[in-house]
Amino acid sequence: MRRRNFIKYCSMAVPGAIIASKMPTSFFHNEKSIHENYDDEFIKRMADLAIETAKSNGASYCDFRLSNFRSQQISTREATVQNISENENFGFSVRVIVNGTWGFASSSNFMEDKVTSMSKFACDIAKANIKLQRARVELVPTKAYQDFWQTPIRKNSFEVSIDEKVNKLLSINEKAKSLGASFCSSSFWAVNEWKYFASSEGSYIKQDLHRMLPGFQVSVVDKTTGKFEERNSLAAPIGKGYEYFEEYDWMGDVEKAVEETKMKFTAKSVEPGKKDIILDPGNLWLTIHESCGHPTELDRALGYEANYAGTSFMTTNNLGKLKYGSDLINLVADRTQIDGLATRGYDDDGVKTTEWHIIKNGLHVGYQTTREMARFIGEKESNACAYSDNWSHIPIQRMPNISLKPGDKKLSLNDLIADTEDGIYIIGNGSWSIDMQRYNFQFTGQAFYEIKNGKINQMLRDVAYQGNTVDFWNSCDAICDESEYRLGGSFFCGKGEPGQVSPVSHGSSPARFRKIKILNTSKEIE
Amino acid sequence: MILNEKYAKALLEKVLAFSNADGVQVNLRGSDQTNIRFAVNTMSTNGFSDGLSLTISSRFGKKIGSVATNKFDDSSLNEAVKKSEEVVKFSPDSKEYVELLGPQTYNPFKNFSETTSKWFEGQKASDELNDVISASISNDVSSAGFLNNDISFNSILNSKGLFAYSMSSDSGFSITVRTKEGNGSSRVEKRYVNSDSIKVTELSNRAIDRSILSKNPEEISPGKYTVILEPAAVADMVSLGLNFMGARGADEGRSFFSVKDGGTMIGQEVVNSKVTIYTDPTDELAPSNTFTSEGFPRSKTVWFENGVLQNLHRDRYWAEKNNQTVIPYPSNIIMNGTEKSLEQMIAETENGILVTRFWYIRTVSPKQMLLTGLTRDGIFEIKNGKISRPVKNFRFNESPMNILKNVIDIGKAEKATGSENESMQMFVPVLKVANFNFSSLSDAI
Repeated sequence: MRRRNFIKYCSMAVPGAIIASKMPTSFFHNEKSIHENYDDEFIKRMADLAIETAKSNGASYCDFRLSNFRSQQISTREATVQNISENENFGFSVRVIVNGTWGFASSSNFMEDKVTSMSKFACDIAKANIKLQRARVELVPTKAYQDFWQTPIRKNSFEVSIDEKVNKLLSINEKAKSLGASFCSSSFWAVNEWKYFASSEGSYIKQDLHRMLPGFQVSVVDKTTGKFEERNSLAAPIGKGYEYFEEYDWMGDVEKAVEETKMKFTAKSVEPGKKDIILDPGNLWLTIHESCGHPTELDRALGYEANYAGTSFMTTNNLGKLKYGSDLINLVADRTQIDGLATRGYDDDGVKTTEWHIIKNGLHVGYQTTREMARFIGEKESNACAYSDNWSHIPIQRMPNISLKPGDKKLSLNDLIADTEDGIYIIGNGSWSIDMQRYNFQFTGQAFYEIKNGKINQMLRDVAYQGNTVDFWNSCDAICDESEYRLGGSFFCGKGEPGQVSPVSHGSSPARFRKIKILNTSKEIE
Repeated sequence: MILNEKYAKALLEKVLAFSNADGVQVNLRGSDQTNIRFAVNTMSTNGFSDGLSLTISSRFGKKIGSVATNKFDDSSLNEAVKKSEEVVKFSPDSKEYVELLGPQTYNPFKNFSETTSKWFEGQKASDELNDVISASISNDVSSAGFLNNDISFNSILNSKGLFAYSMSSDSGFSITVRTKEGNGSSRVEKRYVNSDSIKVTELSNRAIDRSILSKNPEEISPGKYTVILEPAAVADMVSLGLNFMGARGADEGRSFFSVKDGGTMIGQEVVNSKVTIYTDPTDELAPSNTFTSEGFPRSKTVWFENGVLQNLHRDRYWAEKNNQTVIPYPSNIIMNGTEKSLEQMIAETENGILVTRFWYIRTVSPKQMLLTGLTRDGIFEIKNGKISRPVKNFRFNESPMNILKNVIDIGKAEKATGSENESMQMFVPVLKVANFNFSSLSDAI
């Protein structure tokens, strides 16, 4: 193989860590080294090389991940295209266990000698840190799989022309302006996460994951008063192909957005106090995410996230005992959920994905686990929640799709509103914040409507709801049926050090919560 | 992966040679990153990563498109350049087009230290961390934390002859100490260009002492209090406040800094006259990058001087359109302090609350610049000049501008990292602030 030595910054030794040996100084070459459609046989050979090298350097376990994160982003405002970019980020990592200690090394330079050196380096890192490992890492067993899994998309976003997407975004902006918006920005973001996993236990798994995040924001400015109002699109990020962007009712959403933004100027400022609230799925997904998703991450509950994301009030001694919510509450984790952002065939431990209850009839019954964490609650196997957002990051426990089961009885949103005497109906997600153990939260929304005597009465403004997780979920007395079920979600759930983001969806039907504390945000700092 | 200036330029020139566009800009970045993470008094993860990435922005007329890749063989580079040109062809003319910059002159970068690249060599960092874990076990507390050591370079070449190159280093240590019963918590974090500035043992001991002081917090009512904000808390408020300081939003009437009937608050006394805040990438207190991703030179910008709003950040398009100066988004933030220590400020406070840091801060209302978030890892009542007891955490609803307006006193400044803007280099003081709005209680510790 012909090489050209681009010498590293001459005096810079690789941060040794942890370390024992130094890295080679040649880092890239002029020949084609890797491509996303690279030959399967070569990739398997590299995986086997990494694993064999690790074994010969004392590893009792090794996994090899190769991944390519491809994204396409288009952003526009009014009649202007602000950015069009296509990004690819390709690299590999080797994770090992030596004497009960993790070691991890990664590189964007996928070459045979680099695979060997990184595998050895991961082992060296582990060996250099054995003294810091006061409790040995042990993994619960998993089967070995040889498989390929793909997000079931109908149309690949990357195969659709850019001008088609640009035209659609500009038409949204134009529509908003024609209806009286002062400003409108819109964007399209598609991701294709291709990844290959192989382990010393015999797994060889390839996955091709797709997702997208489209949206817009409308602004109306009243220069005479110096006030402005905004409303975001209600479209959700989703694990689908381009068909979602084609089929979503953008014109309907933007029309309603401009109408609601204008209404906000004259809407009644909310009276603070305790009120019944009905949360639309576009709002409730985030409440589920923050108050159920995060506190039931087992690593967090055990203290592994204490320095960053926090710990959890849902401690392991309360598993099976904590009455988290009312009897209506069934929150189910599901990495196989159709259209879910966290849906895939296998996690980054190589474990086959599944579904399970987190909350069953109001009782806390489950956690999210990895192969490393599962044994701490006596589980014999992981429920496949290991994920790394990049080849350069070690997999950690990340959230699966967690969704609220719809109510069993026939109940539409209109029925629920008709059954509510004095309340607020909240649409879309706005501001959100929750404490580091997941007790106290505060959320806003995109639009708020007063409900009086079973009818939508008028728009409200300046609304935020505050609560304590357990009190909040125990106050739920009605959930609409599955005909009202929708997914919401996030591309950017943050956790870990170095920081990682993961995509995740949360589904629900509209639900009612009784006597929730409502703030008037405009009066908070008067 | 770190390339020195010579080899970075050679690679950039190679990429540029593949281009057939009217104009092209190529950004090349690389890094070597090493870290160790620990929790529950044991190492949890570690890692090394070397990365190199390239972004190519091609232009035909007023059309622009960009492609990012980290494949560096000749054919992949050529393919990436061609792809960026394909992307351009499908783009409409940019109505906010600005020309590529020509050659620029930059201040020399001061945010790189040779020493930092050696911190994790051998056993030094590992030995220091081992001592931290041992101290935590012997004090019967549970520690979690993160050590990182990152070296990176950043370079730009464009078809108008602009070339820029800089290196940076970032070493960090953070530790959260929780009492065994989970009834107390503290956290300390320091980040420096030079790893020698990080005193791991001293910082850990401080965190252990504070965690014990924070045990068994008692409930006091939410409401408006005089607070003493430690630098980590001030760092969040000041950096988040600067996020709202875009000139375009203010000119367009959709910003806290917009005024009725058009115009902005520039020139008005917006915050307390004790407050002066500026950006200066060459300031040794918190050095940062000396050029933007377009290659625009960064220099000193004063945001507030004696309470008066001096500047809002303005990109090249908006500056050209309005015939005004380009002011890049801040790469560092420095707020003037005094010689007064935290202890002195506590001693001079009859009734107040001491806040170590904030957590999970989000915007509630952009036009009021109203933020919500929580206190975390140490909040204490001050009575008659002394810390009287630990208290339960609060949720707050407050505005950074309100906080800076209500400043009563300013203490000593130091390098600080907030919870919401870790990458921003900040040097900020302790602040004593009146009427801080705590909205509700949190049971979280």
